[in-house]
Amino acid sequence: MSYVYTVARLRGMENHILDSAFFTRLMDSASIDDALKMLGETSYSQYLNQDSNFDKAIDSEMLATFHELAQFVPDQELLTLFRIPYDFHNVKVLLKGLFKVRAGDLNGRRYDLLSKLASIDTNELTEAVETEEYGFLPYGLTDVIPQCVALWDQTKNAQAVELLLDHQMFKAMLALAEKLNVALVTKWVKLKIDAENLKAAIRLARLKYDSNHALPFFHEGGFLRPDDFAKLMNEPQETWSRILSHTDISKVLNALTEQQDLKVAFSDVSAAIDRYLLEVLESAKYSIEDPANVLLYILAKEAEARNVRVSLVCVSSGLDREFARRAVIA
Amino acid sequence: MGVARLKKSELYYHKSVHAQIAAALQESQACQIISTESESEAKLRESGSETLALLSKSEEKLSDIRYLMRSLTPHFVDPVPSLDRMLGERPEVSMEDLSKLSDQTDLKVICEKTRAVEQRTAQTRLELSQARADLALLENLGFFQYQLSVITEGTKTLKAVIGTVKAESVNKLKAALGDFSKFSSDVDLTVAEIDEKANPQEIYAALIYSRKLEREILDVCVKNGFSSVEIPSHFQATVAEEKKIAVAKIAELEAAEAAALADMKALAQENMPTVQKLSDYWTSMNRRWQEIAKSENTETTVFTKFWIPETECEKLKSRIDSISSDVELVFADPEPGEEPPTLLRNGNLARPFNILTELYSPPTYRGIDPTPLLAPFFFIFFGMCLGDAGYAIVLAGTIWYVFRKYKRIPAGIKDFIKLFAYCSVSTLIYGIISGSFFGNFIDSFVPILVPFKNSLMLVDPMTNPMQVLGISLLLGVVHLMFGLLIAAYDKIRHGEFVDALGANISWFLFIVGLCFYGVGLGGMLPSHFVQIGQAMAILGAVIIFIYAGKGKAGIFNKIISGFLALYGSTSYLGDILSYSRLLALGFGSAVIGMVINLLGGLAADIPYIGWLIGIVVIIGGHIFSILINILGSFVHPLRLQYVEFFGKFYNGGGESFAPLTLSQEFVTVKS
Amino acid sequence: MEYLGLSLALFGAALAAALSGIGSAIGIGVAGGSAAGVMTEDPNKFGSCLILQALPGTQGIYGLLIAFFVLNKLGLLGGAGAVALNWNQGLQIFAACLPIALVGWYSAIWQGRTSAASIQMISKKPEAMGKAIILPAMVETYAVLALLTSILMLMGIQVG
Repeated sequence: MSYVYTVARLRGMENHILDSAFFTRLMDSASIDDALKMLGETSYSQYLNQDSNFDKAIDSEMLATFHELAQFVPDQELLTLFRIPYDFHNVKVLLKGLFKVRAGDLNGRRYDLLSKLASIDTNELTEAVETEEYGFLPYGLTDVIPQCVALWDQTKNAQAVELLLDHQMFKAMLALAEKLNVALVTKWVKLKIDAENLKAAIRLARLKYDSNHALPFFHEGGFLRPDDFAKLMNEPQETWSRILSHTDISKVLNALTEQQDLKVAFSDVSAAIDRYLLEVLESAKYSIEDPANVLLYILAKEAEARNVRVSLVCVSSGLDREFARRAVIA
Repeated sequence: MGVARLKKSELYYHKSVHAQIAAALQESQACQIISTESESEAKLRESGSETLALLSKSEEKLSDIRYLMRSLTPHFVDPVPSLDRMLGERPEVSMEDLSKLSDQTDLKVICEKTRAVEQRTAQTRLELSQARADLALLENLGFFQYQLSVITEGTKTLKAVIGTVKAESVNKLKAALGDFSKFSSDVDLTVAEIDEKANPQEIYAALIYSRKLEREILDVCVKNGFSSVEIPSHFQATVAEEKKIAVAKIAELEAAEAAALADMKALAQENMPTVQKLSDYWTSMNRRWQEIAKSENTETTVFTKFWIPETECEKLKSRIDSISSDVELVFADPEPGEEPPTLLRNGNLARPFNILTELYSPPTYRGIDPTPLLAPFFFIFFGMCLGDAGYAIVLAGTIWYVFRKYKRIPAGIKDFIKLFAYCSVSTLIYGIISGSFFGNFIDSFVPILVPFKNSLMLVDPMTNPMQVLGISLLLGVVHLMFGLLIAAYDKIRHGEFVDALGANISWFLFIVGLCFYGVGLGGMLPSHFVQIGQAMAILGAVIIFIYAGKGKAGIFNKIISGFLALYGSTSYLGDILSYSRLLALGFGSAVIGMVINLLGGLAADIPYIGWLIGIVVIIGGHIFSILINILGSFVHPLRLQYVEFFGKFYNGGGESFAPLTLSQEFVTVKS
Repeated sequence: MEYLGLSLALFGAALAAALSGIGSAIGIGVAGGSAAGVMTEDPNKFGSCLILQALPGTQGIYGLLIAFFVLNKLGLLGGAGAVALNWNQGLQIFAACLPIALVGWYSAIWQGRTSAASIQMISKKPEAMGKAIILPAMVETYAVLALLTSILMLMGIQVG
């Protein structure tokens, strides 16, 4: 099947993505029941049952979207790219449980936290981790899980274990993207790694880390090296955008120059980064067969799922609607 | 002719007649409401609460209707085919009828009924898939001979679990469990027989164990790759018995599913006609209140502003006056700074061509309406491209049949069909003068008529294509020059004499002059045209040269831009050559027709059934040829209008007049 | 060598029909993939999609037209028998077939891609059908010009 069909079908599917007018109305509903009734007119309806567990419904819709896309996207790797983070999330959950059980807490296994959106079947993953047979696991998990176990045994440092897994996750994503050999997709993954590093950099700067301590926190594989980010630690944040001015990503850093409060700046920069990542992909919109359109669609769908969640939480808990509205539009 | 004159009207009325006035404005189908900008949205909401209540009521109804349409449409067999519906075959009702129907119909009840059936279907399907899954599970458990209640409930001392284990881990598991055997018969592992041909990776196994060792045993199991399979708690009897129960249940549920679907179908058949009518009614109401909500409100009065065509003013005024005497209706001309929407209004002849202008972009209110200007050219070009008398007769005949069968075709569609009716006339004429009747049908099959056909022929693209090419290019020159003159006229109208002379008239002189010169040299015009042409072309070139240098500093710059402007004449050359497609397409349809006749003739030589195959080939072939050639004959002349012709003078850029109308998707509303 | 001329002329006719047919098939295939994608989500767009999909089909017809033109000129249609042709005339006919063969081939593919894009456009903006139809027609211009060139060349060649 060709991408011409895929992209055209995605164009049709984009028409069904809920728009901001819908979310405004959704947030204006008087009660959670009204809101769920409204959601009942959308594609989410089939997953809404009486007990109004909308979290589950949203996950089911996302999963159904992945299954639907899998039927007509020629390269499944494009979908896997979005599911890998859930895989690593599941690995973290399982390892945490395993460590707790070993420490004597027999109820430490939290299978309920496993995400169905992962690409590896949760049962298989569970079995692999419990029986310590990692041989068949993809994405380099075969090697990285024993490393994690060993690291935990030596240091009992949960953060270090997570970091190890995160490094492997981005490595796996980049490998997958490079295998696809689509320029825009590779660029996007690399920028995503840069973006992740940049966010980490701001967080670490807030915690006053120096270059040496910060270096292990940065992932390899982006357009910028971990060294480049670590060096930023020694500089005042106002100058970052000038230091990075030779790179594409520098323009998202304006907020840092203008905003003194790092906490506010962080959320501004995060928003700018997300916008920038989307902008990079948007050039695919003018093509009738660029595989990157698949990424664009999944991003739009993820944004929709997030917006539904925010709106419903806001309605059910009576949160300030202005706050939610801002969250939805961003 | 051209862009219709609009009036801006201001209507003040008392709140008590609010509903009647709104209805009158909508049913006139001629008013485009303007929002009163001074009011902020919040204030509007506050003061127009009555309107908003009506609006939200219509939204609530529409939400039910949308739900019903979505659920029932897939089960509804429409007695009226959708083509007929499009061509106006729909129930005719008045707004009062619809309003009464809406009062009589309880949408909530229909919704509840539908929802109930829908839920029943979903529930049945869920149970069915559950039962099927149960059966599939039971198929794998044949090796387990005991009552299944041992697994689901267990006995006082024993409990059992069923699960799967990897083929290669079976022995490991057995060995690990062997450690418990010192407690004698505390553990018993049964493994399903391995079917070598089937999937040997996962093997079902049952484990019966003593309750007191539950935790230890299960821990060993998990570590050795035994993952338990959940056995539904309603399984009590043996596997074979449960299988029987499951099969019976599946049959029962399948019947229930079919019954639920039949109920749905009955519901759809019963309610859809009503729901469709109400869909139109409430869509209309929703539109009405959405538009009226743009009005300004005071304590007791409402103020609505709208655009209305000048011709409709009287009608609306008398209608409003008959509702109440407490209204003030003022019509005013648009002020100079205002940009009213555009309504194309052309006479009967040009009106069907409006759609061609609208497909591009309507003119601005004070701009030129290009419709009557492009109409004759489109008419001629279409005729030249299709260019076959036989095809024209088929086209006209089909349209005649449609108009005879359907008496209530909506205006927009009717105009579009009329466009083709007109074009069939030019096709017929060009078909006759170029001697094409279903291609070369006459030459091939009715040679007796050939002298008659030949006597009517004026051009012959088959033997003398250069003649038709000349005509095509000449038409192109006329078309383009016409465009230039319109542009000049438009500029003069706005007082820009110099620009009209420099940018349009100069090119007109230059190109027409060159044509005269060339044609004169070729001997097709008297020789003094050579001199006239020469003079015109030189004059034109000089004006172009000077005009291009206007505003440039320095003599050198002036000269450069002058030459650059003259070099622009290549684009005119390209434009003119583009009209050669008129020859190519006309030629194409003639030759395709010829090929079809040829194939039909060849087929007819097959013994016995040849004549039948021949007729099928000829009829089928010509139908295909008509369809494909109409598409080409529509698209290419349209391109000549949009790219070559409009490029000279027309930008569009207006906004279409969009009055508040009634929704007539499923019904026709009579006034 | 006496049939070399005829062979060359037939080779030209074959190329005209084959290459432009290949182009149209690819073009319609690309546009069809796009149309199927849009219609999966919105079956009501069948009418507009079909028209846009059909647009790159004309090149194949133009090629066929030239092929028949050549066959007719050679006297191969009907029972009259082939005309005598020297290799020079055969080569001329071959040359006359090239414009529609090459331009038909490429323009149909690119027109198909434009059609596919137009189909995606009407999926988002159904009201822009008029513009959507014009864009692929712009590409076809060059196939029309090539057709014209081939016809005029063939008409000018004297045989028999």
